[in-house]
Amino acid sequence: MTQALSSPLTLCVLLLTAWGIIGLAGLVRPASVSFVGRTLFPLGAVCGAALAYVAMTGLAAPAEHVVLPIGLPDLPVHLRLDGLSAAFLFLLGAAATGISIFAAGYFRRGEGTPPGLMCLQYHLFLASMGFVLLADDAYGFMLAWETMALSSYFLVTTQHRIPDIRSAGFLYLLIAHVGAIAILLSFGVMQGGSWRFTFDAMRAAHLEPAWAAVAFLLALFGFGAKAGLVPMHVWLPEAHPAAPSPVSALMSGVMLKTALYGLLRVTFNLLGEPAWWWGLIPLALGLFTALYGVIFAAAQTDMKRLLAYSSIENIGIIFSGVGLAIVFAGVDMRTAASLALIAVLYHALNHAFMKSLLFLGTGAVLHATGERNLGRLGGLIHRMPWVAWLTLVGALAIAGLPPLNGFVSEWLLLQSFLFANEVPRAFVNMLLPLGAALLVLAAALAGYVMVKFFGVIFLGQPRETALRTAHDAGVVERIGLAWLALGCVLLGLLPTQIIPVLSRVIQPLGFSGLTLDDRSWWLLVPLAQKQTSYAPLAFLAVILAVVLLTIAAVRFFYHQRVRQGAPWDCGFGRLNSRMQDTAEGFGQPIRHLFNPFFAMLRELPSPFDTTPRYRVVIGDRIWRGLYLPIGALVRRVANAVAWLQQGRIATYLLYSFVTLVTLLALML
Amino acid sequence: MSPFDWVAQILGILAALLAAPLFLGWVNQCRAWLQNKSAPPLIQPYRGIRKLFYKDAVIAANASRLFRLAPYVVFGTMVTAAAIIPSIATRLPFTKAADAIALVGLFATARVFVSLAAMDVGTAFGTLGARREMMIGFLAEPALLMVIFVASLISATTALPAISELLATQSLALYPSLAFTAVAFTMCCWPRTHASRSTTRRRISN
Repeated sequence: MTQALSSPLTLCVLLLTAWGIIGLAGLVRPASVSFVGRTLFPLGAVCGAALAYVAMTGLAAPAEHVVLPIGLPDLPVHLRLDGLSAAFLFLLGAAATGISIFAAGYFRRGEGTPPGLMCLQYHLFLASMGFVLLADDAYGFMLAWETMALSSYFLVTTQHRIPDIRSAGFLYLLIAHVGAIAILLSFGVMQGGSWRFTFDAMRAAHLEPAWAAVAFLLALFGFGAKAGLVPMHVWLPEAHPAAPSPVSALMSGVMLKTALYGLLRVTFNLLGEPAWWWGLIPLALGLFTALYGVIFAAAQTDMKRLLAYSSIENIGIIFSGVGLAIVFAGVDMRTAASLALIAVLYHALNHAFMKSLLFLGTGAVLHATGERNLGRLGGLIHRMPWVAWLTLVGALAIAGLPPLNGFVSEWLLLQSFLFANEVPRAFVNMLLPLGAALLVLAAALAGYVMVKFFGVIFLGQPRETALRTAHDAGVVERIGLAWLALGCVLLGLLPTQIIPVLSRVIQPLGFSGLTLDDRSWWLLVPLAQKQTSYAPLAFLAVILAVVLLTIAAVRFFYHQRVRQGAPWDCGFGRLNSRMQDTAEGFGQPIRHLFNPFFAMLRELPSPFDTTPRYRVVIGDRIWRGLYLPIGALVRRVANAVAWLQQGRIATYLLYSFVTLVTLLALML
Repeated sequence: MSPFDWVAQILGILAALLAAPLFLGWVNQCRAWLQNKSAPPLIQPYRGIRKLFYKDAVIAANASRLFRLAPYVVFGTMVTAAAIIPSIATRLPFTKAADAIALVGLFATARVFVSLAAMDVGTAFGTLGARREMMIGFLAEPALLMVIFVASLISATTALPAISELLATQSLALYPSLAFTAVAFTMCCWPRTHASRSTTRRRISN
């Protein structure tokens, strides 16, 4: 089968290969920051933009196959580009563009690893994520999946001289591989006795309902571990903050979405018709994850950890949408299922932009101040106005405020929750509206978290004197941030243009999609019979018009006597910037309200202590209750097995002899 | 859309704007009575606004542009909210642009900007007020949305005019859920007004 050179699939493969070549080119002059930063990363950004464009043309095109003659004998790599792959490739390309532009400025100084090597790992990471999205057989998928895990592991451990980062990387690698085993087993179940591991064979295989459920649960476990679904989330708040900021942005913004892609591919494409009750598991886990993530985010004092927990929250929202789509699809409510799945894809796209933007914002702050601890930041809006205002866009978007993009997807998801009382299953239709309540609680808490995040870093007075000399991000970094912020704004304002595209994406998966009214390009009416509508452009126009009118009216009517003065200090006279409320203070009501979630260790000094130190350590109950016992069990088993290791050659010869005799006895 | 609808829209916004301080005065009266105090007159908030128009504005020396912008954004979102809610007519042109969920989102936007402005000056009290405002917010917001959701589940839509038309025009039907909802709505409105008031006070005192 020959492919035209200009077909989207060929172009995608070429662009991904180009990423690989750019990465290898980094090894030519590995120590040269200017070569890597000024030449290679911008080239990578160009590739990303081209990939996003090509994927956009591939969204509407019919599915394409290609078989690459590489790999093991008799196991060529199958690639396929369909709507779902194209949608996620667009996400990868568009987000990678902004991140690579930012990285071009960010990696100027070089971190622990030489810049050339970092460039190789970074671009290998990008290319492997692309091949995960294109793979059409289990072999190619796992190859790309493992490359993705390993390249990101090396990126996480860039500063490998710090022990904490090494252990974070180890935990990440461990859970990634436990998840990968589950995915591999899931593929093993799905081949259904044909022993052919192409996705085409899996689509054709007919599984018993019980085996299909096993395959689904294994896939949910495997992909959930990669996505950071509770209780497999523990690696995420360790690994994401450990990486350099552009890498954190890629991991949170894009890599978590490849796990979502895998779950969607398995559930709706490879397994065929999902049973309705499958959906309850991701729905319940997703809602719990959303709440868990946002509560822990509110209690964090490290800005990158805060964002990592916020990623867990968003993954929870996305997975609850997937669960809802499965439930609706299982009981044959086609419109509702389409709405939920479109909300999922939309939120995945939104999250890629806003979380990348926020992580890059923290990167700029980190470079300017050298501080990640929220307790030592503050007042940066004066010194870093560009970073502050662009980050504000991301913060408002992720808090789900209209008319930015986070609101649109949460709105769509809530609309699909409104179908819940039509589900023809008793109890389920009663409990589902409670899910909507949990979702709204998580979204409202996200607003709290974002006020804390933005307010403590950028507003108020600088908590350290060193912050008064902080510098704004460079021009290149600003362009990267602005690209992502623009994405947030456009995704928020143009849902009527984006939803029909997503609707076409999910139609090959057996969904009816949504038919929007073509005449109203500005008014989003997802469901004509429900009369519900949302018009972000009109919304923004009215708010802007009122704001401008009010400003004009104030100019006209008000006497304009505005004085500047010192803020009132309650007559105390010696207020200083250390007396502002802290990140810990912001966490305090959360720690009280959601006390059962936390395993807290507090050191309260006595009133007579002359050098008092207040300390609170927030632990994860799941880590103590689940992971430590498993770790202890593994250690005990390992100790028991270690008894076999006697260290004497005679013993080992005896083992071989006994094994041989046993085998012979079995054969005969 | 007839011209009459546009007139009704603008009249509705103006009515909401003019009557809003009256409502605040009434809530203050109720609160005073419940605390066994003598209540201020109903029009006290209007007097306060008039006084503020004559006074000089004082802005903290280290306030950023966000602080200057926030009051306008809050006012803009509140006017937009008044435009969405069908108060004197249901066939308003602008109600299509947003539904009940967007309304809650608008309130959240206003609250976020109030809180950010409170944190901007960087005094001990401003940030405390911001934190409290957001805490009340994340507790009241889901409750408010659930209140609207009950009506939405009955009428199968979140569009406010459709909800009010359906509930107003259908033949008499008793919904116990709506009664509970009314109680819940009152309960979640109460802390909202209280918290924003105390925060605002702190901000002004800053």
